[in-house]
Amino acid sequence: MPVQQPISHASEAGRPRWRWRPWRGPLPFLLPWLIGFIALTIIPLFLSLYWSFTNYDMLQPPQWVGASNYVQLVHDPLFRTSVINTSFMVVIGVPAGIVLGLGCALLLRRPIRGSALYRGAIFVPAVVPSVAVAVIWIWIFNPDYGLLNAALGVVHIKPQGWLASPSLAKPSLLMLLVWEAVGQIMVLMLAGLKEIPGELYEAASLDGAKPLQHFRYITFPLLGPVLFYSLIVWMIFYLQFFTEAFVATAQDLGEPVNSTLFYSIYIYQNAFQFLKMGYASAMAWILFAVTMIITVTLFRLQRRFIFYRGEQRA
Amino acid sequence: MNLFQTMAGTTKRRRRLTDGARHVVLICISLVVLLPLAWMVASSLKSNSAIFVYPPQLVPSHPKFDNYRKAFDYIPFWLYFRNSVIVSAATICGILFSCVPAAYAFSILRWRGRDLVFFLVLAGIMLPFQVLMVPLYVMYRDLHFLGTLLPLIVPPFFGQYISSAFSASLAIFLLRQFFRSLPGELIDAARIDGAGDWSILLRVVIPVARGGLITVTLFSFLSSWTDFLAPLIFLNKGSLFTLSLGLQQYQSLHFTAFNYLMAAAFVFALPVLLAFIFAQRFFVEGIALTGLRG
Repeated sequence: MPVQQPISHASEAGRPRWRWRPWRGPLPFLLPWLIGFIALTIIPLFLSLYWSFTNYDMLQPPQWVGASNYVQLVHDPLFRTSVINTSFMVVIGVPAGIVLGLGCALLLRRPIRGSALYRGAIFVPAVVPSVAVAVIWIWIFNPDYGLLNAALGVVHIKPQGWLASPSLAKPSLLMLLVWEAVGQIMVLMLAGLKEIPGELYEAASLDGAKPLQHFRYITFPLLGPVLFYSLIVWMIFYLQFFTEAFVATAQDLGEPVNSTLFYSIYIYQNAFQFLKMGYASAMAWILFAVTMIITVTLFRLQRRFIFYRGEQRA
Repeated sequence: MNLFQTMAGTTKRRRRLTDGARHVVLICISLVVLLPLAWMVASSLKSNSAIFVYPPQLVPSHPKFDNYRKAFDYIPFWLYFRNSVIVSAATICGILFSCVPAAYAFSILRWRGRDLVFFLVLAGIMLPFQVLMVPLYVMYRDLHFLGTLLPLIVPPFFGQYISSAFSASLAIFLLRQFFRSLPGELIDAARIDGAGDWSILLRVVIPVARGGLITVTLFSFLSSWTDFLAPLIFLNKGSLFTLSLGLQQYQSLHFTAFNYLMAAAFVFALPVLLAFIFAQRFFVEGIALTGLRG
């Protein structure tokens, strides 16, 4: 069936002619976003880059100081502490969340009576506001009257200081973060698992593959893109970890003994407590750079190790 | 034939056995996950004397529902609640206003440089809010936005950050995924009927992809209702606080009224919990597409 072609003025004129008609095409659809993108993202982005080379304090106009903020950062022991603390959350928290989330997803994979209920229950922490999560866990971690020490008391373990203890404060926050993350990771994994065709397992079973081999040779490789995706998303998320730590240590940010001084907390302190806007901007740009480097590196690695379905291996 | 029947029989029996084991494991996991929330509700009903008792009771012997009224009086709770409602409602409207047409331009419309510009949107997801917060603070100060709710209300209308965690870029990305999955014949048919792009968007795309719109609405609500960092920085007057900020006022250096704090935390979480219970499907769909609830 011949479809009527839209008549274009250019072809009528005999040769293609380009005309500036901004009200046609994508521009009207993009306009609000475009204005915002320029005014609230691009301009602040470059202001921040500029300020990272100045001594800006919001009261005086910024003065160019070259790379001195960055040099100072290298020698700042608190900067180093905040990097180590944040790395701890990323390096332990992300894999822990992914392993537990994947475990829950595998348990719920085959339909089972009440699976929607289980899925909902495990997911619920994800929709509790972070501030509420933080205060609930502050109360659970309460050394004198908290639930956790009481539970440990039942099995005769000495009460701990948790958030008040320099050695346990970070693991305590990690526990809270994993509690929030597992359900979300599980839902993503379940969606990924659904994409794996069942025939693969049937074929493997006929060849005598055991369940563990199913996981090793079918589930794990075919889930690769999803695992990889959650790795990136959650690394970015944990690198910016702020709210729960801020609320949990609101009286004394970063305490005890700077064990919960995370990178974002230290940026916040520099910017809004010490008014070292230049210094804070330098820190923020390092965070941005690290985020990009991690993402790009993972994307590179991904091409090597992850196999997308329907793709031919070179 | 016989062999096949016995094979089917054994797998069925083994499956029933493992199903039992799965139930046990899943019930244990669910209980561990739900325990903190149960503890919140239980604590919110304890009297001032019952809350500071060791060992703590999981179920309060004399539940005090009166705590909720007292918790609302302890801080200007309803003022903060109102602020949260204003910010969330404005965010939802703003995001739908700016991101739905943008997603249309990135999915249905064809134009040169589309993928390049969309790459900028995606890069926006990677951009940490920490980079923008200092310059935005200064810009809002110069615009005299500080001292109002505008720093949280205006950006969504221009397709920028919703909260420090869930960016508007993610909303555009999500809507684009939904729009792209629409059958192309539907749009072609409308175009042959002589419909322009705006009427295709309003009359065809939005009604058919309303699942995507609901998901984005829920995510925008969730993230603006729960955000902490952006309100912390931009709302510098007590009368502007959202609930995220207000909740801190139950805690002081020397004493925290944990029963009132838990009551307030529960009421604070309740709207999102209800939204989740009634619209679980959309949350799950959104997470499956973005990997993050924001």
